[in-house]
Amino acid sequence: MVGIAFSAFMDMPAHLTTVRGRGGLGSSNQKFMDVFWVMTSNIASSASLQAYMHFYIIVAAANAKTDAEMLVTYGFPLNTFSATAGTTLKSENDGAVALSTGMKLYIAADVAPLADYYGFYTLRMIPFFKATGGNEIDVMVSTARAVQCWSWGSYNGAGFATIHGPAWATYFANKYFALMQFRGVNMIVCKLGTAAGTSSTGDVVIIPATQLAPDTPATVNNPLPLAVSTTPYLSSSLDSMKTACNSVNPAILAGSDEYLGTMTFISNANTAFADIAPTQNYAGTAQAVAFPAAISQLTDNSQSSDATLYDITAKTDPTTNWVIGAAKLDALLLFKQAAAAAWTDVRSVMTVCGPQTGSTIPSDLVITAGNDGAGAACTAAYLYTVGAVDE
Amino acid sequence: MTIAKKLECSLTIGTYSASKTSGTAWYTAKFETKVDGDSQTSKFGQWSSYIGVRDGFASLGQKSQNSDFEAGDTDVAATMYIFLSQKDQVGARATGVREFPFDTTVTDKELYFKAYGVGLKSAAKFAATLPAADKFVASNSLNAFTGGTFGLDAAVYANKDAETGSPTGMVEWKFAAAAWGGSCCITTGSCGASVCDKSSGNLNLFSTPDSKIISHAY
Repeated sequence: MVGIAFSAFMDMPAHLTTVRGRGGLGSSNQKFMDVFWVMTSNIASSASLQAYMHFYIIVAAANAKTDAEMLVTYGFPLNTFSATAGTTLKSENDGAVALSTGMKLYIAADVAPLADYYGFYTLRMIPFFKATGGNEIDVMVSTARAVQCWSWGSYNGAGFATIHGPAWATYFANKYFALMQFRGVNMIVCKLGTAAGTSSTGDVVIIPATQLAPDTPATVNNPLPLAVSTTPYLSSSLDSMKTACNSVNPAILAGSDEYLGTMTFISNANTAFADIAPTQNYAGTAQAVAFPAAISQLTDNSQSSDATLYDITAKTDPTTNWVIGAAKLDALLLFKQAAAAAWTDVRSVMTVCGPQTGSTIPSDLVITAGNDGAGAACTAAYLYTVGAVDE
Repeated sequence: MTIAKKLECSLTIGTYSASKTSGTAWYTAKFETKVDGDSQTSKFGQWSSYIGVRDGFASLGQKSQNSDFEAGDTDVAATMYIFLSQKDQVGARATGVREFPFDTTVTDKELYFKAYGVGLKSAAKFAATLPAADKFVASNSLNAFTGGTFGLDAAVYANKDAETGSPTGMVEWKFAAAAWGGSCCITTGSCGASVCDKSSGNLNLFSTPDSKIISHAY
């Protein structure tokens, strides 16, 4: 054996191999560290020994973070699963697909993100793309924080990050974390900026979305897939997804640029999957799920139950304001939680839905927190066409 | 290259009946394990090793350490291995042996190590080493060769500067014709002006102390 040692040999790209940068060998945008090595002689037609070596670029020790250290949390408050043996459409979800119809980011009060851009692997969701193109999507922010988001990936093709098995991870002292490769699992990249979260409240970013795989038949307005669906795009059940993610959630990436190839931070994905997405089965009519997980379980609109309350009342005197033909009424949406919910939790969200045709919810509806019309506002309405798959 | 996909080890305890056979097999056991490449479906790295059992040229390897190759690191070192065996013979091609790319028994050629890639440093240093744990020992030598340890001439093979004038993205080290190979120690016991002492750092890279066998090969 002969050892050929090259000292002070190369400068490693500043970005991670695992998130697939741009450019190959010789490219100025190369994000891999590739070296083509040749031992040859000076005679004509010399034979040679050759090797093409690829050096996986690992996370710099200072950039290897826990999920908490990434300082931005995320979750899928409207993510739904269900049991197989249900008797209704909403309960017949076999859990073969993990759906997401919305994503929430939370930047805690007075906490500054590590970098301008964050990347999050998402469960099966199709966000609302902006007409401006470039994969930019609509977002709602609870504060004045300026946020832009983009959705990347192939919605029914392969993902863009590979699983690194335990042996591989150990080899690199666990500096490769739970990246994964699944069809239908895409990445949302958001420009959050590095400003600290708004004092006392923090900043909430909601990314509305529709499901990736609609029901079969597609006439059911239900974010849950039908139990008999046999062709889910995602080849993993909830359990297998959890397994593939080493029983935790996918890693969070962060960097100074929206392109994956420039991400330099990666989390160790040490948050339990159940902490970012409701993983409890959606059990038909039983009110077994806490409010943040399944709001519709708790809405009888009757105010007759101590456990549930969901109603809309006039903000001002209804006898003079709630009259036929009145438009854009100020109303109070009242609801009561069956269980305590911290709205800063990444699984907490409240939505109001109505039919597109003949809807009494105007497209310019403004929803504010509190009852004085001055609270944090949601200002966008999103049209969802049942069964549409916007790929 | 032929790759071994499985490793298998068998143990049989039986009753002696002849020099190579057993009348009764009292106990048999077999261990089998897979190595990389067997039944793998796009799970690169699931297993950690390839074992080449038959190939036409010397194997190459790459070494790394846990702390190496962090994003943004500069002046990172890299180590490669050339795996040689007694079957890596030089000179005229012969049946049943691997052919080293060059005839190193003679010193009529220049030797180049060239590396290409973005981010390579022109000031990189080259060193050829013989890992202590892999030095040649008599127990795995050819019968006609007594074996021993070898020491390369550090003045020649350690801390060598790269050639100047290489284009960006290429680093090259050059060894003159007399600086490697040769038949040191075959019969005369001399390495040029130095007394041939295989273990004292006088050996040329890829020299052939034994007929057509590269010294640091087993």
